[in-house]
Parts: sequence; structure tokens; C-alpha cells
Amino acid sequence: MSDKFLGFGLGLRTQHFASVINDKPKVDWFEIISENYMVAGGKPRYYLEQIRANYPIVMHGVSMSIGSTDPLNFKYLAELKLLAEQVQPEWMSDHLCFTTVGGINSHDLLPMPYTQESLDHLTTRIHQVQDFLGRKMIFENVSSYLTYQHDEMQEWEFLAQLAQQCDCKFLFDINNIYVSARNHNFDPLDYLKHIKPEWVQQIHLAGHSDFGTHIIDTHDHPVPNPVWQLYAEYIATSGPKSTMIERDDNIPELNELLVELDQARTIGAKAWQKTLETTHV
Amino acid sequence: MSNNKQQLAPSLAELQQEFMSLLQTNDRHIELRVIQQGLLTNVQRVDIYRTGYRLRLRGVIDSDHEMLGIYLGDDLYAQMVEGYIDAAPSQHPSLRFFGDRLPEYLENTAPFSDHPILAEMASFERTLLNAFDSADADTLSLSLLQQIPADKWPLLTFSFHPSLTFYECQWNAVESWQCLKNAEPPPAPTATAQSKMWAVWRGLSKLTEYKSMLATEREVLRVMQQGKNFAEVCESLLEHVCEEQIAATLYGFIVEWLQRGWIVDANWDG
Ligand SMILES: [Fe+2]
Repeated sequence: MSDKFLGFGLGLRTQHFASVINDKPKVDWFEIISENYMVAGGKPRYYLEQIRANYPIVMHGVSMSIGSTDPLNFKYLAELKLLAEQVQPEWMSDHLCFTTVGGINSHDLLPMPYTQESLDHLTTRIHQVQDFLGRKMIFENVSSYLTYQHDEMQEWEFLAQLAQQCDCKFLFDINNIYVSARNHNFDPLDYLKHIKPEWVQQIHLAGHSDFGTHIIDTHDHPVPNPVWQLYAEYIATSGPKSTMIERDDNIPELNELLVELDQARTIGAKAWQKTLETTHV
Repeated sequence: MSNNKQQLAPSLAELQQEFMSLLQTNDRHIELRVIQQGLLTNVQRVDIYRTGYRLRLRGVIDSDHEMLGIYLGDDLYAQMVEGYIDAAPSQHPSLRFFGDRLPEYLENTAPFSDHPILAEMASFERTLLNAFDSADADTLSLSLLQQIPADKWPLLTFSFHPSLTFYECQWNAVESWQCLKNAEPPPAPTATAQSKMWAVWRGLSKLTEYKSMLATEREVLRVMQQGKNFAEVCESLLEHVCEEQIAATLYGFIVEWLQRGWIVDANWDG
């Protein structure tokens, strides 16, 4: 898997197909939702091909259900592999969660219990999937609205164990950490400091809906200040990490997202300049 | 007993089954598994998932079946969506296929089954969706007609674009759908003795198109899609068209098919 720093990217959304092709905006790379392109042909595939010619692409899936106790869906994995052969992404990701039970798809990223059983289960499945796909996968931490009584460790300890146990890397979603921290009353900085930079391949930034008592991870708002602050905090020590803004609903004009992306660039430049200075001293 | 059960940690498989039972049947057992803390109750925490599940699926039907939704009106539409989510949970990794069983649901479930036009309209909307992202193929243009040697016409066979499908209905489902699309009131549902035939395909601009078809054209396409050549097609047309008009009729069809991007390959080598 490519370890390179891709710069600052956006999630590719159908609303922006035309402007991405015609205006070639200053976006370093795009992330596609894999499932949206696992179709035979038509507009989505046609546009993707043209965009692929101008931008690096990473593939982000939502249906691998890596944590499920259902058998792995090899038909899905074969389609994913085929798409990867066509798109040649820089890397591929999915989520640390389960989505299917008994063959029924919840189409939600349901939280795993943080237990040794989950760790062992994930480790086995991640190896099986990587063997089948012939490439490494990266996995994203999900946001959650509940935690289980039989959890044996904190979420960040779970991730740290997983990184060591199965040598996998993470798509680190800073907004998800903020959302879960508020919903479960922990300090997000505790989380950040447990995740070693070498485990992190990519970063997601997004917005959410704050209801005061809790936060719902809606991805329908600009990235809010607390999430920017956490991002700045993490990358101050992590070194350059490919960063992207995820907007899934209430999608604005591309220009609005480009302004947000510049904000990420500014924070990145500041943080990494500091890193460079300290390493040169 | 129940206390005892609370203290036993579920296996990963049991926990996931409990979670799915919450989503599908609103079985609240999983509340017992959740840590109580902060400003939210366990009922609220669990409800976020249950509500999110149904909203997400509803959103898919909203966007796939917009005209059907308008035709039904808010109350019946909500009843349909709730019933369908329970009756036909998603079995596919992509939400793109969640609505595939909606026509069947409408056909078999009261009160919708009392109005057959509903299943037909849902089926038409699914046919449009399928044409939208079916496989690609390069299409032939009108210049093809100059390339076919005069003596080879009887041997001519065609391959058609993968998106080209046919949709058959008894009711005025497509006309009603069209009215709603134009923000006009739909006509009263009426059925015809002879079913109506429509062609649905993805046009050259990648947009989905449709047109009604007469029996003759449908028959020619049916025969040609079986790989039969022009001579055989002419023979099958004898029942529908008088002999001296057959060549002109067929030529007219082929010109239209080429203009619509239906033909992707032609062969006259036998
Ligand atoms: Fe994310």
C-alpha cells in the first residue's frame, strides 16, 4: 500500500461531477464511495473514468461488514476487487464495525464491543480480506451512540491493540472521535494520544448535528471549530497525513468545500512547518 | 433470572443478533447491554439506531420512487414505506437494490394490491433505474447503412445496447408517471385489454429515455434480439405488415434505432 502523503482531498459527490471535470479544481485527490461505482456502467462510471485521469483516487467502502459474525461476502469482495483493478486507487478503506447480521444489511456502521473476542474476530477477517483482495485495507474508527457493558477496554485501547495484533492501519476520523467523546463523555485528547502516527494512513474531517445532550454524525454541516482544533492538535505531532473533508448531505457548491479544504491546508502547513523546524534543530 | 441474564456477557454473534432485532422488530433487549451514562437514557441511545435505520431506507425509496410517492400522497406513501421496510429488508451491500422488491410488495399487499397501477408504476421506475447504470457499449451511427452491401441485407443481424429493455403494462402507469413528472395531475387509472409496450434505454447523453412501441416494432426487436437475420425478420413480419411495405417499415425502424443509440454491433457475413 502506498504510504505517500496525497495532500488535501474531498469526497467525490455526483453533484460536483461536472465542475470537477470542467474546472479541474485545486483538490489534491478524491475519495469515492466504492459501492456507488459497483454498477455495470452509465453516468457514475463514465464521470469517474474522466476524473480518474486527472486526480489520484482512494476507494472508501461502507459494506464490507468486517466485524460481522456473518460469513464474509465474497461476491461483494470480488466486485470490490474488480472495481479496484479498474480504478487503481492509492488505497482502499472501510469501517471498523458490523453492518450485516444474518444476511440482512443494516446500511449502518454498527459499533463493535471492545473485547478480546472482537479483536480476534477482526484480526482473522482482516487477514482473510487482505489475502483475497491482494492488498492491504485501511479501517476507519466509527462514531457511536452507545457503548456496551461488557466492553473490556476503551475504544482507543482497542484500536491500539488491533494495530499491533494485525498490523493494520487506520483512516482516522477526527469528527467521529469528537462525536463519540461527547456521546460517551470521554476526553478526545486521551483518544488522540493513544493512536501512534505510524498507524494512521488518512484523516477524515466532517461536520455533525449537535443536540446539546448528544451529537449525531450527520455529515451535513461544515467542519466545526472543535473538530478543527482536534485536527490541529493531532497533526501537530503526527507529521503530514493525507486529509479529506467528508460531506454526505446538504451538499454545497464545490467552491464552499474548497474554502474548507484551504482551512485544512493552512492548519496543515502551520503544523508541519513546526514539525520540520523541530526535526531540523 | 432476568438479573442473571443481564450479567452474562453476550457472545459477539448474540450481541449482533440483538442489534438486528432492535432495528428490524424493535426488540429492546439490547438496552440491557448498554452502559448508562450522561444525559441520554439507554432508550434514547438505542432509538438513534432504530430511527436512523428506517430513515436511511426511507430515503432510498424517496429518491428511487419519487413519482409513486406523489401519486400515493403522504399517508399512503408512509404506510407503504413502513410496510416495505419490514417486509423486504435489504439483502444487498448496496442500497441501489433495496427497492427491487417494491413492485412485488405492492402487487401482493393490501390496500396497494387493490390498485394494480401502483405496482406497475413502481416497476416502471425500477426499469428506469436499471437502464441508468446498466453496462456501457459503443453505439453505431447512421453511416452504418451505407456500409452494408445491397446483396448482404438478408444476412444482417444486430446486437443491441445492454440498457435497452422493454416494459409492459396494462394500466396507464407511464402516462400517469409522465404527468406527475411534469407537475400535472395524473389521469384516472384505466386499463386496456391489450397491454401497452414501452422501450426504456439509456440515450447517447447518458440520460434514461423511454418511448411507447407498437406491436410490429416490438415483434421485430424480439426476433432480432434472438439473433435472427433480416430475411427471417421479414418472414415473421408477414402476419403484421403487407408484403410490399415490409422493407420500408424495417428500414424506418433501423434508422430510428441507430439515431437512438440502440445498435452496438451489426454483422452481415452470415
Ligand atoms: Fe469518516
